[in-house]
Amino acid sequence: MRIAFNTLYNLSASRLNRVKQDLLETNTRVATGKKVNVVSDDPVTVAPILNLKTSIASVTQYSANIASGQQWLEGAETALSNVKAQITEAKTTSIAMLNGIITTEDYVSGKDAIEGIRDHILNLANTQVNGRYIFSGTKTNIRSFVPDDEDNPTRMLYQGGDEEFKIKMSESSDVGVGYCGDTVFQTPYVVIDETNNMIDFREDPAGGPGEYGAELTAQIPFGKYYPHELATTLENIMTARSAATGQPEIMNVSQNDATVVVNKYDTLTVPTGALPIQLTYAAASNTWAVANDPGYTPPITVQTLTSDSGGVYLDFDGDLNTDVSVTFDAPVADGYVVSFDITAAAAGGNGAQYSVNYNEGTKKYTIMEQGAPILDNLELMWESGTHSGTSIGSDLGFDVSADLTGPANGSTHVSDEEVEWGIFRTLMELEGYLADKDTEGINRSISRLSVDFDYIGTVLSEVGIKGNRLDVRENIISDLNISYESTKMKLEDADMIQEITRLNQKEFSYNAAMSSTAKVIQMSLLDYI
Amino acid sequence: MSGYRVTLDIAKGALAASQNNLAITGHNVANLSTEGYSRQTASLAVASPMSIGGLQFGRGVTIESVQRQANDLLAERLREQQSILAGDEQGVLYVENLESIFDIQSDNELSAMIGEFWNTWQDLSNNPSGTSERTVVYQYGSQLSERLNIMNEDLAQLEDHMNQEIETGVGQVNGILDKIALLNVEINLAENIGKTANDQRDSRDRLITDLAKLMSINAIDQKNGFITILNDSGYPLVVENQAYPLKGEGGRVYWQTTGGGTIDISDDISSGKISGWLDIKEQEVMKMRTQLDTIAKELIWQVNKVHSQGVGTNYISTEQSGSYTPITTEGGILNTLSYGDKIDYSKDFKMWAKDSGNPPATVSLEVDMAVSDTHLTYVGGAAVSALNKYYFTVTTAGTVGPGADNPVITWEKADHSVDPPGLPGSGGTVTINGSGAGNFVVDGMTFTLDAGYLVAGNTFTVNTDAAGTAAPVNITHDPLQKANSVLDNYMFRVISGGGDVTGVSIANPMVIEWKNSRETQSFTLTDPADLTVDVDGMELTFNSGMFFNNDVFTITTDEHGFQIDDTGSFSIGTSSEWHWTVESFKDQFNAQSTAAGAHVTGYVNLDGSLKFVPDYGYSYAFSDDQAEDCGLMAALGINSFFEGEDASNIKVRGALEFVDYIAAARINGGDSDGMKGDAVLADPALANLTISAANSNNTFRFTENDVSHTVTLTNATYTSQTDFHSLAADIQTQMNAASAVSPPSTYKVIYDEDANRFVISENDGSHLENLEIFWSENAGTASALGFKPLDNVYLPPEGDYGVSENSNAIAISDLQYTDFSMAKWNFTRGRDIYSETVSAHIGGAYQDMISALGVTGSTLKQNVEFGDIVVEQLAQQRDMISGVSIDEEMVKLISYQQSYTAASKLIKTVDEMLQTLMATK
Repeated sequence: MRIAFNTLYNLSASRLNRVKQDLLETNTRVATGKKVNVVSDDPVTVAPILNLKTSIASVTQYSANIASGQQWLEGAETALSNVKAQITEAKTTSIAMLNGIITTEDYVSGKDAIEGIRDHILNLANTQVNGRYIFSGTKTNIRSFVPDDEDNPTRMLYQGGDEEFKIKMSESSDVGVGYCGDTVFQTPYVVIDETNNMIDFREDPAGGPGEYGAELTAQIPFGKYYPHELATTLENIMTARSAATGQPEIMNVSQNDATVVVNKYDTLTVPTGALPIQLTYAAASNTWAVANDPGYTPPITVQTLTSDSGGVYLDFDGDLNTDVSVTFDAPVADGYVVSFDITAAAAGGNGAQYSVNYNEGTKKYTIMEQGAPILDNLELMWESGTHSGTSIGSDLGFDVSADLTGPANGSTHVSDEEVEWGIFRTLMELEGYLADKDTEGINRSISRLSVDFDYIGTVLSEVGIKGNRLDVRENIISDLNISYESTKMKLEDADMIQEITRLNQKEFSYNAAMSSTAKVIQMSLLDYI
Repeated sequence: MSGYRVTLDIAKGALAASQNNLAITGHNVANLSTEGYSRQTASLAVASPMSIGGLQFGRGVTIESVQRQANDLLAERLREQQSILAGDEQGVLYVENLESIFDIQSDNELSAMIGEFWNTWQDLSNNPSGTSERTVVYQYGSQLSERLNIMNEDLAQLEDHMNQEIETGVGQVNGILDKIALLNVEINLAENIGKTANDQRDSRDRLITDLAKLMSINAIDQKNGFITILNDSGYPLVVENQAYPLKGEGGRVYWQTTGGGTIDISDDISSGKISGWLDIKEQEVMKMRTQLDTIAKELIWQVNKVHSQGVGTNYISTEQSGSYTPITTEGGILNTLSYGDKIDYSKDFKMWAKDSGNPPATVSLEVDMAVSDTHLTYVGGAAVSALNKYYFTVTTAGTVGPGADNPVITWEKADHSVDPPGLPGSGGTVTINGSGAGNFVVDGMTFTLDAGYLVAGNTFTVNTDAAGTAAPVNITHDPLQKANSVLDNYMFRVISGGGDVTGVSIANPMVIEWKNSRETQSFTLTDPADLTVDVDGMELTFNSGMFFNNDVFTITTDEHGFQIDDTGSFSIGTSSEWHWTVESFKDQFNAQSTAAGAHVTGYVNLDGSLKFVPDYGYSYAFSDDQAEDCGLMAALGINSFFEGEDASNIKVRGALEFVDYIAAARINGGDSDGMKGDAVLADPALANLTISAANSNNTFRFTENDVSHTVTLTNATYTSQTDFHSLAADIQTQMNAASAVSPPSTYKVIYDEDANRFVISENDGSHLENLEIFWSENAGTASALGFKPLDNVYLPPEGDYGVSENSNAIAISDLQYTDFSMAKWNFTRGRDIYSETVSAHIGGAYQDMISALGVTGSTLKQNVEFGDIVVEQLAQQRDMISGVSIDEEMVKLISYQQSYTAASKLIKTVDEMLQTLMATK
């Protein structure tokens, strides 16, 4: 086949060009260290590479967010552990105050100690991290708690916000790292035990003024109550008591798993002030022994009817019918003792329907009558009632230094102060009891302190769990970071060894091509003619 | 005797032949490197013999012709490939240009910048009160905007540059066409005389190749040596001696007709440099510009929507004007705002205002932004004023139907028989009471309203024609035709020729301009028998209606391209249906603001934007974390982050230079935005609901601020869900009557049609502190009203928030990985430009765009590589036939020399023989 003059030269030129082009490309890859320098180098991997770059930046950002959040949580953790330590100290001091040989000076120094503890806890509640109050919700520029009066504080006021401060720790989750002080330093529930489970009241039916009936007492079952639950329970027991007509009541059951029910009312009339009946179980003979037979009139002897470890049935009038039955949640063990009081046929109420409301906004309780009114007035006997020492009044925010009398339409029986259950109130009440040397009060405070201690413990463990979550997330993030970086490297970075080898190869081919081209283009017939 | 003469003749012929051969060889050698030269060879023939004495004697050699060695078919194939290669090479060149604009290795790489933008919001969320974090957000937002501006500008410049290249290319084409025509004439002349015009043919071939490298053509050989050049679609470019020059304008190529008109042949150019430029310009540059605009538009809207629901370090105490303007005629229809089609009318607008007291007192006000779907029909009657535009606005909301809540409509008219048209004035009010469809009469015209709920602030207009008859606009569309642009808003405006649409004619045409996110075009109506137009893939029919100049209507497209209106139904949003305008919103807002005591007034600026001005000592903020925001403030550009609509004008709003206004927080909306029905509300259409004491469902008790009250509802029967609006109004009236809190209208009760429930909340400006409704005591009422028989508490929010409130900043940074529906554009040369919906997050959409560019780039590069090889091969084949080979020519040279020597020897021999003869005596 004919080879034209031009063919030779053109082909050589274009081949040289191609090799040079390759050389140039390889050189670029070696110089930048990347396989993908412009989009068209590998269009399919460009999008993942760009995506990875953004992901790496995001993940670094989350890391920064988490670091910021961890500071907050550490601050909270330290503060709360210290609070727990302080509460323990308060408890120790209070228990010491119950010792019989305590003197007036001891009371005074005890009160001072409690005041000191209270101040310390106030400081802890106002902890700051980087100049921001961590217990003020999102209002981090406002001090979390201040006393209502600098010199004679009666309560600690929460000034912060009600939303947690959150940080973003991943694409789709935020985690709260700040706290609202009122959910930490105020216990959201109250524990009802024998120190605060009574309410005494009197009703004045419609018609003439001031014709109050007998004192009515309602008893709140032991347990843990949130404010609305407490309102509902109070409502129910007061309504039930008002409706109950002259029936003897079982009071002060000493065991939580025992249920005492009066089956026949009309056989029981009992003098007041009697000792509680005590029943003891003997497993060997599967019988119950009765002690403190209260001496009913007409004088009768209490007998136990067929009874076993599941329940005991008492007959007071000898007609072999159960008058009072005591049942247990589970079969009892040998030596189990239960005691209870049977009170006199109490005077009945007027059958009024009560409504007790807890207002979340104002944090106050309102006790009133609902439905068609049948009462003129209602008297809450905080001060003069039989059980004023163990009444629920102060926990509801009422001023228990005097009875509260007024119309039952909801306008008068409203808490005097905001309801607050928590460590500050407990300590301030304790100071009051120490000043008054009120041992009953001190006892009550000790059980309050346990409740508060448990609650702060719960919050502390929640802080720990959140801190854990952030730590785990931090670890995941550093793993992710490494994995993203390595994927990006795989996609984007040139394999230097390969590229340099290739560079050498191309260089060699280029040199070879140039050398052979030089030889060929020089040959011509003209040299020989 | 004659033998000698013959021999001398033969020798003479031989000498001449050798000399000529040498000349041809010399010509070949001289043109060794000439581009496109085809070697020439002489074709020798035996001279015709003569007979002498019955014997045939040959008479030597003659040169018959000089032939050009060329294969025209091969040349054509080569030319085609060269044309394609030239186009692809230009493509690669410009793609590399584009790649450098979107450089993925630089620090200014856009998807990294977008990612970093979201990160600055996260930094802000970690310390919302920090000034330096706020400043970084502002600065980085500005940098991002500038980068988008620059990219857009670079692309625009590239587009301009390519247009210029195309025009220059067309100029070059015209030059070549002229030269080819001239050569045609020369070749024709030469070949007529019988010669073959070899060199001119070579020249002409070279020119045709140059032409093919510029644009694809068909070259057809004619007899007479002419060649006809046509373009790909058959239009002649050169015929015999006539060249038909093309015109390049605006980046398109036109063929000029004899009548002076032009035909656009750009789409028929399939290869060559011009095709390469057109490909890149139309399929890449324009596409990327539009796609970048779409991405910027989505970024602006999504960030603004979240940002406008938040608040900065404090309420705003200065006046604020919106950065977006509607088309100002007809009160500024909200749909004509750049983002007007994204307003969600099923949600509301909420504003908080506070005074400068310590602690400050706050009030909130909420405007229901629903659009009523009651249909208004014109029944008959001639209006008092012909050629007027009548405006109807609902100033008191209510139900058309039974119930005591009667709506009130205020009307005005503007005289459009003069130019410029008069201002709206001299109107009145109409109260719609009565059951069933309410007829109302205004200025002589009678209208009917369907039963339904009218929302305060809704408005519509009706034009009257020359006879005074009301002629509401009626435009229908073919629901099966999809528009080319999805998720877009088409705004139509009558530019000239306003009047009755059925009265158009050629002498009196109506010109309507339309605009969408990408382009502006117009169409003209001239034939009353044919009022159907094709607009970007949609088919619209103008059935009837009176249009004045500058009247506006809009069409919104959904994600498939089907046309929908405000309420989501498949129809067109004309101003003769209920809608909102900036003016009507301003009036409704002001009415509610006064009633609530907010001390903030709304104004409409001259350019149509909305402005809020607080009284001295008052400040305001928008929305809260419980409110469902309709997006109105984002669409108006108030309390937004970005301004602008696309990549060319995106910018951070100037007012945010005062970085405290950057909205990182949301106002605390309390626990709920009202007491909402939480049980199933039975449909009264299935079983009528009768409220009465007999049914024990007409009373309930509530405590407000701890004081107890009882409410008794009016006895009534409700038969449809629309009637529930009246029931809601009744509940509201009775609760307000029972309430003792001042101001007297404490409560607001509405019936939420979409969620089918009642919502009880506080009215604008009320001082309610807490509300508890005891549904458990009135179970009958509770189930009638769709509430569970449990006591329900509502605590109105106070409008405050902490300095470390960061939910808005977190919400904005969450946008990074949220998927949005966006348009993805398809630009194919020669076909309509259309878009499809894809769901992607903003960074992802950009990355897709870049990948697509990469695919085009790498394909082109491969094409060039391959094309190079093909062209090389074909060139080699051509050279086999037409190329000059030095060795060959040198050998020929020697052989011709020898034959010359041989021929001279012949002469010498004959001469000697003659001498010998002469010498004999």
